[in-house]
Amino acid sequence: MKSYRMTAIIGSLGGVLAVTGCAPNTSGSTFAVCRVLPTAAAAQPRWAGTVFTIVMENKSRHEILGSGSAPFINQLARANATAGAYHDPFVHPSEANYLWMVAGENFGVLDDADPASHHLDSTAHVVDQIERAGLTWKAYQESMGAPCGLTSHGRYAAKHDPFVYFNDVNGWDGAAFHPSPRCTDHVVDYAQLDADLAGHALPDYVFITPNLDHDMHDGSIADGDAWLAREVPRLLASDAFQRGGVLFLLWDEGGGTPAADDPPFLAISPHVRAGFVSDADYDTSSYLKTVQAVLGVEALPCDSGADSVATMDDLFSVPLVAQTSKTGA
Amino acid sequence: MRAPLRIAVLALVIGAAAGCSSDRPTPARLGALVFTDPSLSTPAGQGCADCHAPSTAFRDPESDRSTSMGAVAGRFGARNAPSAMYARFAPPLHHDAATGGWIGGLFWDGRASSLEQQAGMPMLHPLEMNNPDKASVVRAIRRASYAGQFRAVFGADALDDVDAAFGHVTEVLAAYEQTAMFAPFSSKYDRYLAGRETLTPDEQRGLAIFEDPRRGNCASCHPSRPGVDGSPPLFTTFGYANLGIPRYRNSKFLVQPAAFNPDGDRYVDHGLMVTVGDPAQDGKFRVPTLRNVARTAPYGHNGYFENLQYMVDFLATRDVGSADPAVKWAPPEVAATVDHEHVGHLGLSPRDIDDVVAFLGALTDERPAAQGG
Repeated sequence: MKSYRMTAIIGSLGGVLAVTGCAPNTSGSTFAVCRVLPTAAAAQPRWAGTVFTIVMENKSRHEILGSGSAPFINQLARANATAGAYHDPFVHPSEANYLWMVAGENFGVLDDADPASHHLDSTAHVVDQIERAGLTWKAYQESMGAPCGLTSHGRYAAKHDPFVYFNDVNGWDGAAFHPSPRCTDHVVDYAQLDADLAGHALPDYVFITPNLDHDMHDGSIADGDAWLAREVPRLLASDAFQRGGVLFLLWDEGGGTPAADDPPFLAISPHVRAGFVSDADYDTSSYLKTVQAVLGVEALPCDSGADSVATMDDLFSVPLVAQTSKTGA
Repeated sequence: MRAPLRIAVLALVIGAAAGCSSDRPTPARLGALVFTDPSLSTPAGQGCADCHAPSTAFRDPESDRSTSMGAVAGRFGARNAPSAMYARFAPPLHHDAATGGWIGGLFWDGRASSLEQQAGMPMLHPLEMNNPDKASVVRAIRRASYAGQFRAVFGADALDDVDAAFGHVTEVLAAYEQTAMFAPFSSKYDRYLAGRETLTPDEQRGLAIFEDPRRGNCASCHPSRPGVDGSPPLFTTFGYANLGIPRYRNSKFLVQPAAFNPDGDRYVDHGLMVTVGDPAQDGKFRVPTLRNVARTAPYGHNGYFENLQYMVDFLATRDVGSADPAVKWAPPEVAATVDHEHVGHLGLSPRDIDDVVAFLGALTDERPAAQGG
């Protein structure tokens, strides 16, 4: 706990400086104080299908959109909706951005260290919300091997797997990790996806991290595009998607420099405005709030700026908040 | 992203000052101020600590990128910023008659022979702090809040002559790097050697593999036992080797303008060969200390290896293939001089590799405490 508090303090100062030194940051604060989630959430209307997220690495829009090295991604972009002014939350490196995707803040984390260095005791992140709402989730991590990977190895990077940093997932008791089925059943190797697709057993919330060769971190844009071209069609063909799901394809950070926080962001769904490019000032908090809206859970209570964060409504042709429960948008 | 690091480093510096009995400026204290000063780049914004942060054993905390970004946005160097810890023990580069190899020097290629010489180079490198000349550095120092301390330490005319003043700057940086903060010898393994702590079973197995000449034999290049004089092990011989590390094709150096990288994506880093002018040294780089290695990802001269397990797996299985089906080793950047004798086919199981990694974790020093110079 001590090291976490220390980094939180430093991170909060960094957040202040980032806000003053960069373009306006609507992503909230790294210093958020979370309210406790209710033990059970009231049933909220939500979309019928699964919310998929695939996160790629370290590219700016101009490197991907329009690139001849990324024909599949560009095909997806033309047929779906793109957030043309999306930006990351102005925190770096990767780990901070992944935490933001699931919690709306980075808890002061400003490095890429494995979970042994960051013990996040928050119980107010998106999978807590999902479970309290009676929904299901899984993180499919390519090349992780054994479930609940707490250490980086080979082509698996824990920093790209935000769930394993939360004590209520990884079972950290202050001295050691004690991964329970909550971690081992939910943070699984990507190979598990085959069985879940075949068994029509995809959960309501799916978070996919390709390995370092496939997410454009170490591999080329063409490598990443080819991987997506193999993997995305079978997601889109799943009943979990076809019955009204959405796939968010995003990159954690822009390429090049910390000043260019302009990664691509695609929303893929039967319910998007095909070919639409939004110029709205969306960011990682907008993405999270959109995920929450589609899932029918409220904006995270630890996001102090939740009311000022916009959902990504204009990407979609239907209301993000479903009108009736479980009937789809 | 740099600002929080600067705050952290400044906090340590302030702590260091508070922990001393006197506020009298010293070269080392001045060095700490210079080390963290972001005004010493062109444009201002990048200090030494931005690529050598105490939180990551004085290397670049932005481990997500294989090499560091310079003061000019978008400019990246060719090499992974090494840790500055324990650098003071590196002897000047010299040819060792006993081994027939080169030993010592600073940077990956040994081109600097002293901490002072090393400290000045990044300030004037266009891909690093990008100052056009020594005069621009000295002008920034004259404007700094601590300029008076230079005069207190080196005399009233300390900053008058550019060459002399720049020399003072590198001198104080070297003094700072010689403080205990950069070489605390405070790891779990140090306590183990002192009989004050035990290693876990995994760490103990890893140590045995690390030292076994028939297995890891890592200690042949990374000595793990105290010297005959009782000096703690440095985990490096300061020698040179070509481990066969592949080119890192996503290196941002490869897309630098031709003025910095005329070879574009065909760039090959020749390492020590450039320093000593000997083709037999092509692709060889200095053996780094393994102290704090768990905090200094990525690994290899070009930052090819994202995590420590991946690096150790490479050394163990480069020539025979990894047991991890996701891992396919690419060909070396420089093939002719690859070391096939000591690495590449160590016969270690995945469990052995994990144990070695566990042992390497025991080489992490305690977090820097407030220590004065």
